[in-house]
Amino acid sequence: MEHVGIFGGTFDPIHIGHLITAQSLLEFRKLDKIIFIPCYISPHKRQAHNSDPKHRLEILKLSIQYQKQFDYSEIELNRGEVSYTIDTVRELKKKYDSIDLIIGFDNLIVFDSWKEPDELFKLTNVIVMKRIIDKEIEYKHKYYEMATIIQTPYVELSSTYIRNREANNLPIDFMVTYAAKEYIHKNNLYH
Amino acid sequence: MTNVTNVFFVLTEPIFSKNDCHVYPHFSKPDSSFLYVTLLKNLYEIFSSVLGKEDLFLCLNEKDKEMITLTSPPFLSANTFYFDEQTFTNDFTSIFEKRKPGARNFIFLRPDFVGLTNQDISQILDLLTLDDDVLVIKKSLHKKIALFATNNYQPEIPELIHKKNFVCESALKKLCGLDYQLYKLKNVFSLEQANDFKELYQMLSRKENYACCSKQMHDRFTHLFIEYKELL
Repeated sequence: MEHVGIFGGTFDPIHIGHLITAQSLLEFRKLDKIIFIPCYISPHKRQAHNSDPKHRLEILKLSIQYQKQFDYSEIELNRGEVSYTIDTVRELKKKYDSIDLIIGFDNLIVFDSWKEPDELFKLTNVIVMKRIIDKEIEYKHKYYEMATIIQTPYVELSSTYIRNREANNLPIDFMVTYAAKEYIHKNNLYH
Repeated sequence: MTNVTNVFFVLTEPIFSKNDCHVYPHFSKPDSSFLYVTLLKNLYEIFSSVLGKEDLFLCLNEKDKEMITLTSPPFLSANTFYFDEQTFTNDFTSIFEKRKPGARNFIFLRPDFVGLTNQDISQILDLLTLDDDVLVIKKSLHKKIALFATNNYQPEIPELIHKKNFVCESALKKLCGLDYQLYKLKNVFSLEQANDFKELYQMLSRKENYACCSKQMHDRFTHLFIEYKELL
């Protein structure tokens, strides 16, 4: 029985913080693999510095190429429209028996606004990444108790920060993998 | 240190002045005023159950000023300010300037809706404590932005929303261009069209919506339901 974690996000670009967090979850949850799922962003909602989905995907592939337990799925990109997590989970459930749905602490706060939250709990183990900087919250809906909250490493880094540095011709070494950096430069991204 | 949150109730049109009040379809002017004041009072009451009244700011149309002085509604706090319509549409800065020193989080709402509970407010406040720059939107069932909140106020936010006449999807297209974590929460119910009154009646009759208004506020709405029972 394959036990996988699914880790969705914009990944624009995927950075070291994402990779460190994923590695820690892989070990802590004893997962067979983690599948990164870049989300589709509607073209009219793309920010000025957002990159084309093909670039986001290529950087992702390059960044995880040497970690055999990291995989990716184009499922949401291929849909060509904004996806609901429940639809992605239903699709992946056809292939995997046990799924950890990995979400950020901010997503737990608004989980009651997600589409079919009860069904998500039926189909997956909802794993919440809580960083040391995430404060305790006031309003705890029923899903708060149902979720598994895991303290994950905190790397003070964001994709926005990386894009801004690149836009200002500042080095992004050690923030993304070497291959990702080379790809970003070669394709003149975020300028 | 706890993050201080200031809440701005922005009423672009007069609601206390019965002569100038925008008329709700099929309502008399005094009853329209009663309806809009009830919507405001209800939201004010819910917010004041979570936050201190000193953090709540009423931004009213200047045409309401005289009426407020005459009637002095007891719920009005010291933080009541008056603006002309030009300010509401073009210059949000003067509204924002009324904030308390040290306030970091801000909630702006057009108080013409129901459907917000104190749990919803806690949820918004939780989001505002996140480390990222956060923008929270609550839209009405008429697809307009009823409330927006942020932990990093930039003048572009209200400007973009105003330019798009509060139409949620159009504003979101522009707001996505700003580097904020955007959260769109459950919708609220605004009163704009004639049929909304009937919907309001049905909504407030459902048990799950009891938290949306107090018994006292429910009684005020009931007064209108009786008065306009032919609309139900």
